[in-house]
Amino acid sequence: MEAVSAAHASLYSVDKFHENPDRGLFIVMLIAWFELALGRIAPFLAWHHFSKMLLPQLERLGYDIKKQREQLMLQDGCLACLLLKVPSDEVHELRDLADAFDRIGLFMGRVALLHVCGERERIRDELPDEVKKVEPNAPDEMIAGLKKQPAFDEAPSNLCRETRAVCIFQTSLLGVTYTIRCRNQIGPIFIAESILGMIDAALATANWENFAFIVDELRLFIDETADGTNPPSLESIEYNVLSEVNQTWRADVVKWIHDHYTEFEEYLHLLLAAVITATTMDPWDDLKTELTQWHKTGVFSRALVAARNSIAFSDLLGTKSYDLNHWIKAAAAQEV
Amino acid sequence: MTSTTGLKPPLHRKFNEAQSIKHIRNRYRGMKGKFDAQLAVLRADDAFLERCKKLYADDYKDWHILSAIFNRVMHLEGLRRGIDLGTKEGQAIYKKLPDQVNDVTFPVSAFDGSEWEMSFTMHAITCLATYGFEPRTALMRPELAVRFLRDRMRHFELDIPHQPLFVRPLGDWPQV
Repeated sequence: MEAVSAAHASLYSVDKFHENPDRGLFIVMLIAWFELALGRIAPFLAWHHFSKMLLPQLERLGYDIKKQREQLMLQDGCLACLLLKVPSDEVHELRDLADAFDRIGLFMGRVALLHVCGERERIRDELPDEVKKVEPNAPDEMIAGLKKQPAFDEAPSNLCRETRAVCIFQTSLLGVTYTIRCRNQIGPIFIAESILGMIDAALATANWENFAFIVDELRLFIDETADGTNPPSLESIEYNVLSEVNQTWRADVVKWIHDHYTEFEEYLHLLLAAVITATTMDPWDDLKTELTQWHKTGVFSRALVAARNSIAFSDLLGTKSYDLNHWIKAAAAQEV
Repeated sequence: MTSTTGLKPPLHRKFNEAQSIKHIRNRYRGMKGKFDAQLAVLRADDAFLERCKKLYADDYKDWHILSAIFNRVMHLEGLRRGIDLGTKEGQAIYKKLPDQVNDVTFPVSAFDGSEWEMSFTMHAITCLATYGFEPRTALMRPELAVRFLRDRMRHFELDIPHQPLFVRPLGDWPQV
């Protein structure tokens, strides 16, 4: 999360980028690594592609970008390792990305994708004629070689299943598991990440002995629909804490957060208070003292970084690039 | 600083051993002489004593068992008299009931099964308020309340020393 803020601080304007272009590229590549480590393909493509767009800018400014190029190739290799490692049914869901990989220059990733999807003939057909003659087994050898790389062992064992309609985020703190399901759209995902980031930050400095948690799981469902409300009511948390609590926002909530940032912050404050009140049985005066103490230590400012990141992200990359379909459609458009 | 990720939760800051012992002493005092007839029936029954053996093994103390018996007797007597707790009149009658069940007895079989277990849960939830907590949620998973009391309030560790009441040779009430 801090990395997204750093990327925004370094890249939100041409002037900022020119202040320290090297730093901007470093941060963007770093986020691509993080996304790869999480097995999130569309976000990885977004940041990897962004890095590649920055490279020529740096070159034009006279920077030596050899190492950065190598690192981007390494990301391609690691993507290939990841696709070879995770269950094949998860990779099959990504088969329409083959052309997108080609367009972005993720050649090893593309070979791995086609290999896992059983399109070995296609890989061989696409080999340049001179390679076909000299090294007809080159793709198979490449696959075998990738599986021996340390990156293969270090890659996660599963992808994030980004093709699902609903994503699940989870964290456990002070004996309570917070499970947030959300519609697989950028707005609900931002909100889910903001809420988890806020809970993480707010409870990071908490003393467990000061809280009597009486529930062991809090479940939220974040959605955006034409009938939703910005922000949704928090009342049901108080009365329905044992059931999954729906928080349905109005469609295109990202724009709303962008334009009503203060209100969104206020919503997060109120949500935290509602969650703490509903999940604990400490006397209200004790909780109030605790919340006041948190305010004094500035923990809420840290907690709200996630919300600011949402805005930073949409300023830098737009709101579509975390969606696999964006990359599939973009590749198709390129062909036309 | 307390670990926020460790598996074992710390004692809650409201835990105070001297205060807890005082609560336990008050409970013994409050129950003594309130349901003697039922107690005699239960203490004479081998099957009931066998069930208590299991409760002791799970760290239940006499003050838990006595409270559960009292809760169960109150509930059964309320039903027998047809007291409607939904009315003010019924609530007023029920309030006086604790002083009217000393001679009442119900069969030992009524002190077994899910409703008997519920008497322990009800007692645990009552204790939360005694310790100064404010259960705010309308719906609470009782097992979590019990776990909280066990892990964070040493609710199942403390007692006034005495020979157990439900083990042969049968002990007597503690000196409180």
